[in-house]
This record gives sequence, structure tokens and C-alpha cells, in this order.
Amino acid sequence: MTDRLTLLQYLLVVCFIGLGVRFWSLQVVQHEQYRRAAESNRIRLIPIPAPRGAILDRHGRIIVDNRPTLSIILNREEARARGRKPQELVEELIAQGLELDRESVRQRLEAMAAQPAYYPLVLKENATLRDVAWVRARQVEYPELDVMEQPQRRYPHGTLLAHVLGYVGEISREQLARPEFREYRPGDLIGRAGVERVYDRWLRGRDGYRRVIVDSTGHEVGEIERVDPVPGHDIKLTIDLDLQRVAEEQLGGRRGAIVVLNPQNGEILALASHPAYDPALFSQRINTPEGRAEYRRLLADPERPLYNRAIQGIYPTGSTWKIFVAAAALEEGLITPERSTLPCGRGIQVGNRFVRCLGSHGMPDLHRAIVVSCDGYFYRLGLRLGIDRMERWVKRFGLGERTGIDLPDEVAGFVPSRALKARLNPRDPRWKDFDTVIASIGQGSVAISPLQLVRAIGGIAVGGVFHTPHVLKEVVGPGGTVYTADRPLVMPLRQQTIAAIRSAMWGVVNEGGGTGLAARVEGLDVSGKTGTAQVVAKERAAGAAHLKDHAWFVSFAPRDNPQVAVVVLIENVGFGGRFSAPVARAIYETYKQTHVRSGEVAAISPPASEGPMRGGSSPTVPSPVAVETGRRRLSPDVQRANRQ
Amino acid sequence: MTTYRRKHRALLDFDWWLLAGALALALLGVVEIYSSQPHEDFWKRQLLWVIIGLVAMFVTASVDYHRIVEAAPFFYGFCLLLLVLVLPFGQEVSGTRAWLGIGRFSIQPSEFAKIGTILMLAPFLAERWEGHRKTKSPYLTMPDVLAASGIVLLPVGLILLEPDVGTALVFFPILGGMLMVAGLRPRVIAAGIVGVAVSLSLGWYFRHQVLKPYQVQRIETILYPERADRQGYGYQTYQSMIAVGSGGITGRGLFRGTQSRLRFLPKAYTDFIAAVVAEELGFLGMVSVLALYAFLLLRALNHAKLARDQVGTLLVTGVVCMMAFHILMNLSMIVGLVPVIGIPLPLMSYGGSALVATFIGLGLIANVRWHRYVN
Repeated sequence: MTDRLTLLQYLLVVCFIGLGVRFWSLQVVQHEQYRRAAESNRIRLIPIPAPRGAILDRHGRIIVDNRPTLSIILNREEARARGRKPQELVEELIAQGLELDRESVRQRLEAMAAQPAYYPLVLKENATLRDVAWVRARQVEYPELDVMEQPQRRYPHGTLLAHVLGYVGEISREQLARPEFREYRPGDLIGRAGVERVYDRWLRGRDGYRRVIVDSTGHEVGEIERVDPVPGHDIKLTIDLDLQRVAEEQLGGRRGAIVVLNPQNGEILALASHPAYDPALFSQRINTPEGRAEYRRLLADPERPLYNRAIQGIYPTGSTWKIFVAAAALEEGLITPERSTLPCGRGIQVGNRFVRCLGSHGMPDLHRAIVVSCDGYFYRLGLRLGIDRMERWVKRFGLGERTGIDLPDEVAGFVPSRALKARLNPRDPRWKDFDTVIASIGQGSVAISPLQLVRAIGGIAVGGVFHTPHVLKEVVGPGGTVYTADRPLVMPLRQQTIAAIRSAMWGVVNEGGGTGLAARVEGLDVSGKTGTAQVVAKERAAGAAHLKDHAWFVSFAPRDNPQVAVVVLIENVGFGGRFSAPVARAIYETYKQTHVRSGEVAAISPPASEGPMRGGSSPTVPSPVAVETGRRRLSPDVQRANRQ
Repeated sequence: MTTYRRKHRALLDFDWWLLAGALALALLGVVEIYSSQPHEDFWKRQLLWVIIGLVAMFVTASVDYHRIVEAAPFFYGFCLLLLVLVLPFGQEVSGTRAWLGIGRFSIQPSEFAKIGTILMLAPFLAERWEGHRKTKSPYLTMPDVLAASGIVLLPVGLILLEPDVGTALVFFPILGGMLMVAGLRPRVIAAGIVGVAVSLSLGWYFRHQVLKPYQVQRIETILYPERADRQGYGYQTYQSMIAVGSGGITGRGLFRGTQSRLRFLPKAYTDFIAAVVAEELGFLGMVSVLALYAFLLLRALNHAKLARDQVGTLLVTGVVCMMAFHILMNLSMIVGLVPVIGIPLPLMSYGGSALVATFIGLGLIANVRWHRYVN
């Protein structure tokens, strides 16, 4: 059979020579014709932007979604093939009557210079029907123009929840230069603040595109490839729209912040900061001259509407601080609920200065001292505790450190300590009793955010577990996830400490003479503490509105099984009990209507009749776990967002 | 001492030239896959498969092929089992269920079924031929041919169910080539050629009944290029011819082919990889590739002549027919001589299963040469 194998060999040789001849004919003889064909091949890449995931409240109600818009795009490859410089072309288009924003087009042309030419450039978002008609009518003169559909952020509730949501905008050139943004292109939208920024990777989805062949007049004659976009994941927040709405209404036109959270798990039900801004500005109007002017006004506004007072604003705590001093003193055994009386003395003499109490309270016990907010009592208790123990304890409650909330650029603030004074006050670095006295009532060198305060009070109220506050409940959809970054600070407190604090704070709102009576809600057992934080020394503040005191009210409810904690801060208005407590009451009323009826609050205790109570219902005291110390760890999402 | 000498001799006697030629083509393939998809890691995966393929080639070559042939029914049966499994469990890619996912990789059982069928046919035909050799007419009889066809039709039927017509087609030249070499009467060969021609003509006449519309379109594109719809069904063929033609004598330079880079050529890294070579390396590059393939096939057929028995001869013949059909069809496809059918270019197209199967085939060829002496 060798001859047949040889025959096969000859056959193969013939076939290979035949193929070689064909290659010769195509590549050598007809080369010129095919070379020209290759050059006249025009493709266009038409992106199909992925819709960004929607943002929902805890009950699935839409807070942010998308609306379809049209954009006019420029195919730079096509322009180049026709020998047109993009910049000149843009001038010509404007001269011909297409309304374009020179400034943003110029920036984009620069940013896109390094991108492959087949990738188109967006000339104008939010194109009107008139713009689209203009482009369509001039398809022959300007084959390089095209129209693309683009989903855009829509905010049906306007400015509601603006600081939590954040906003989206075009990725910056600085960001593009960094490796973590490899997947982004110039012109891509990216979350630039708030949830949009922290959870950008979930929300953004993946753009698709169509690769089409066009003839020399720009008409599409075929589709080579189509990659459908992958929509971003929807995100469900822990926010309750009803509570959020009430919180913002209650702030009204006043500067301040409100945080409502569940101390049992750290879920934030409402977070308001006023003044706010319109997030639609960034997604819809920023590339117009009016939009840029609006943005400049926001940046220049002395009231700083872009900044989130609930997590970035740090303030002296005023008398709300007394709760921490009281808890520390009880835990250290300096006082017990039965033996806790100390004189008010209308103030205290330290060295050659007399520091006054606002009233004359006789010999109050701890409960009464908190109810009427007696400064004289706490000056003395603070001196017994001493600054070092005070510092140690408030740090155990998470004060002066970032809480780890899943929002970017949280501010840590600071709490009083010897080291801090030495640093801030190099000419008088030594800590004195006077400093301790001032620190005992939350004045002096203390500045923390409303979020830290409500987390600390809520954590004490539930027995010493300080959950990581967070706004993400769930990433919805395939491959989604729930919030997993809770790293609670655990500092188990004694039963009697918890009971005494709960009882005293209940008294503030529900007992005669209490400073927080305005927060009382029938049947909910609101417990709270007022605070009035001095901005400057009393004498100098007289008359100047921007130097008036900050009004605090921090609270939780129900007393014996805390399910919700609320902090209200209003800047420069005056007494906390008068201005902030009624705001909290409105929020608790709404909470009662929506949650208590819907069964989310398991047990509402009957109104307590006596004073200092011990035992009663058993608070949730966690098993002793190692107390986490040192710097709080931030979740990876927040770390990434903070780097941006 | 003798062991050492035998081993030493054995390694020297391995067909290094065959290996070198195959490796050169496979590495060129990796380079061109990178060129057409620089932002994906197809080329890295292909490189990994080349290494796996080389190991498979050595392993296949080192065990005496008689022992491999003894295990052929098991291998063939295993391939059939996979082909059955792929029907319900396979991953569907553009309408064809041809891939079985295993962990992060997926394999294409039909590629291995080709080798399985060759391993099954070779001993069968050799045994029949031995039986007839001492008779007056040392040719295969009709029952032999029918039985051999049965061995081939089983996998073909299963592959047509996927459906993957291109892959199914490859089995017929394998069968034809092996039958011819195993001893078919000259007049049967002639009748076969006439039969194929007649059925092709008939099939074309009744094309609208037999073929799917897109298949008819693809064939008409080749027959009447001037009428071809260049944006529709003729698009791939036309773009491939542009790629080849625009390459010229010396090519547009490595990594400079616009046809593949700008993705005018769909799936340039799989079936159209040779068009990328032609565009970037030109006529000279293409002639080198043709020469390398011809070198491999002709050299393999020389081994077939040297084989120590008929089984070896037939094994080599089967593998050569398989590869030759792939190469000729694929290259004809990219130069617009045959319609677009899903037949990859051996050693160069992206695809792990095909690559490993080809290396196993080359291993069989090297094996027949390595074990050509009766000891």
C-alpha cells in the first residue's frame, strides 16, 4: 500500500501548491484592490450605557432611579478620516446652530485624546428633540455625528436624603490615572459622594456597545457585534423614607443634623443634614454654564451645603456628655445608684475661678442630676473620675473615632485628654482641675459628630454593644449581598449601670423638672438627654446669631428594650430642650405610627412609676468579648471611597 | 548499561523535527491570538494548552502503540459517552452544544472523538486486511466497509445532534483515507469519487430542502462572489479576503493588522487566525506556514511507510487525513474558496481541546516511528 501513501503525498503537495497560488493571487496580484478595501472599511462603536442600579429605601420604595435621555456623540475616527480637526468641527457645529457647551466639549476632547479613535465622544447630554432633528437632518454633511440613548439619574424626591445618596459625575482625570480605575474610561459616570461613591462598583453595571459598519456617508449598513449592557445592581438602604421625610421637615430651614438608627444592629433609619443640595445638579446640569455657576455657588456658600453635618460636622456635646461621665463613674464604682448624692453648690470653686451651675439643685442624686442636668453635680463627679479615666471610658464608647459608617469622608473628631491639651495649647500644656471640670459637662476640648453621639448613647442603652452604623441593607439581585461590615465595639456594662442610665434618661423626658419634656410621646417611653453646646463664652455670644449655642437632644426608645435612637442637633439656636427635643418628638411620633403598628417593636414597656429602677426587664447584655481597642477598621468599600 | 543505552538511543530517535515544526506553528498561533485580542488573556490560556499538548504528545508517543490500540474500545466508548453527556449538560455557544464544563475549563468531546475513532478504525481495518491478504483478492470487502462506516457514523450522528456540521464533516475524509490505504479496490475508489460528486450536485440542486438558509447563503457567496451580500452572509468571507489581500508580500507588520485589531474579522482568534497571519506577515509568512504544514504531513506519511505493521500505517494515515482536511478546508475558507464552516486550523486556532487532540495525534505519529523496529 506504499504506493497509495505516496499518491496521498502527491495529492497533498498539489493541494498546498494550489493554496499557495490562491494566496499569491490575493496577496500579490490583487493586493492593491484589497488594500483599498481595508482602508475604506469604517466601523463605529456605539456605546450602550448600562443603567445604574436604583437606590431603594428599606421597604423597597424608589429613592433614585434612571430616566432615558439622548446624547449627541461624535465619532472621532470618522472625523479624522474626513480630514476634520475635532476642535474646528465643534466650532463649525456651533456656528451652524447646534447648541453645545464649548467648555465641557473642550475638556472631553482633551481627556479622550489618549483613547482609541473609534471610541466616540459625547458632545451633548440631555439632547432636546430639536438637537436630535438637527443632527438627523445633516447626516450627509456631518456623518461623524450620531445619537445615543443614555440613562440618567432621576431624583423623584428632589433633595431628600441628598447627603446619604451623594451624586454621580464624570470620572476625573486624576482618578483615571490611578490603577483602581483601570476599568473606567473618560466620560464614564462614577459615584462622587455618598452611597453612589461607596457602592459605585455595585451600582454602575457594565456598558455594552454595538460595533457597526458604516458606509462613507455614515449610514449604518451592518452590525458586526453587539454586547448588551449589564445593568447595575439595585441597592436597598436601611433608610425609612417616612422617617427621613419627617426628619428633613423638622429641620426646616435650620442648620443641623438628625440621625435615627437602630442601636440593636446599627441600621440607620434616617440621616438628615441641612442645608442640602440637589443631586440632580451633578448628573443633569453640570455641563451647562448655569450648572457650573450653581456648583460654584454651592462651593462658596458659607453654610457649606455639600458637607454632611451628621458625620462630618464635629461639635462640643454639651450636657449629653454627662451620660458618659455617669456611666463611667458607675462602672468604676465611684457611685452606686443607691449612694450617689453630691452637692450642686450652684457651681464649684477651682483654684481662683468659680464655675457656675445654671440652677440651684441642692443635693441631687445621680438620677435627679441627670433629669435636671445639674452641672454642679457633674463638676464634682468629673473631678472624682479624673481626666484619664474619663478619656479611657469615652473611647470605649467609640467617641473621638470614626464609627466606620459606609459613607465617605467621615470625621473622627476628638475627646478631651492630657495629650490633646498639650498639643492644642503649647503655651499652657499642663492639664488642670479646671479643665476636668469643663470637660465633665462636655465643653472645652471635645468635638464629636452627631452620629458618634447617637451610636454611643444607643450602645449604652442596649447594654454596651456599639454596632457599626450603616445605610446599606442589601445589594439586590444575582450575586448581591447584605451588609456584612458590622464590627461592633463591645464593652459590656453592669446591669445596674444600664438600668440607672435608662431610668435617668427616661426621667429627663417624663419626670417633672426634666429638661427634655418636649420629647415625650405617649406610650413609647422615650428616654433622652438634652445638651446645649456653647460656641463661645457666654459673655461674647450675646446678640450674635451665629455665635448662639448648638441645641442637642440625644435619645432612645422604648426605655426597656431600645429599638431606635435619635439624635438631633440644631446649630446656633439655643437650648437643646427647647429646640431639639420637640424635633425628636415628631420623629418618635412617626416611628410609633409606622413601626409599632407594623409590629417591628416587639415590646413596649408600661410607663415606669418609680424613680431609679434596677433589674426590671433584662437588657441585652452581650457575653464578654474582648474589647476592641485602637483604630476602628473601616470596611473595604469605605476605605476605597475615602481614597478617591 | 543496556537500559541506559536503550533509553539514550530512544530519546535521540524521537521525531524531534516533527515536534519542532508543530511547536513553531503553535507558538506562531499564540502570537497571532495575542495580536488579535491583546486585551484578553486568550493567548495565555492557549500557551498553557500548548504546554499541556506537548506533555500529551510525549506521553502518547512513549507507550507502544499496540498497547494504546488495545485500549482503543475503552477510549472510543468514553468519547461516545462524553458526546452523549454533552447533549443534555453541555454549554451552548451560539446555538451549538459542544462544550462540557469541568471546573474552570471546558472541553470539546468531539475533538477527542476524532482521535478515538482513528484508534478504533486502525486495528479493525488492519485485522480485516490481514485476513484477506493471503486470498486471491487482497482487498476490503463490502461488509468490512460497512462495519468501518458504522464505527464512524456513531460519533458523527451524535455530533450532528449538537449540531456541529463542520466537525462532523471531518470524519469522512478520515474514513476515506484510511479505507483507501487499508486496501480498497481501485474501482470502488473511483465509484466513491463519482458518488461524492453526484451527491454533492444533487444536494446543491435540492439545497433549499437539505440545508438551512444561512448555509445556502454561505455557499452561494463562494460560488457567485460578485453577487455576494458583503454586509450580510458574505461578510465574514469578504472581510477575511480583505485581510489576506491587504497583507501583500511582506505583510503589514506583526500586531499591525487592522482587519483583526479593529475586529472587522469576527472571531479572528479562532477559525480566522490564518487570515491574521496573512494580513500581518504577508505572502512570505503564509508560504512559510504552508511549507511547515506540508513538511509535517509529508514527513508523517513517510513514517507511515516505515511502520512495522499495518496498524501503525493506518494510525498515521488517519491522523494525517484529519489534519490535512482541517488545514486545507480552513485555509480555503479564509481565501474564499469554500464557505464558512466551523473548522479550526490545527495547532494555531484558539481552543484547548483541538490543540491537545492534535498534539495527541502527532504523538501517535511519533509513536509509530519510535516503535518501528520489531525487537
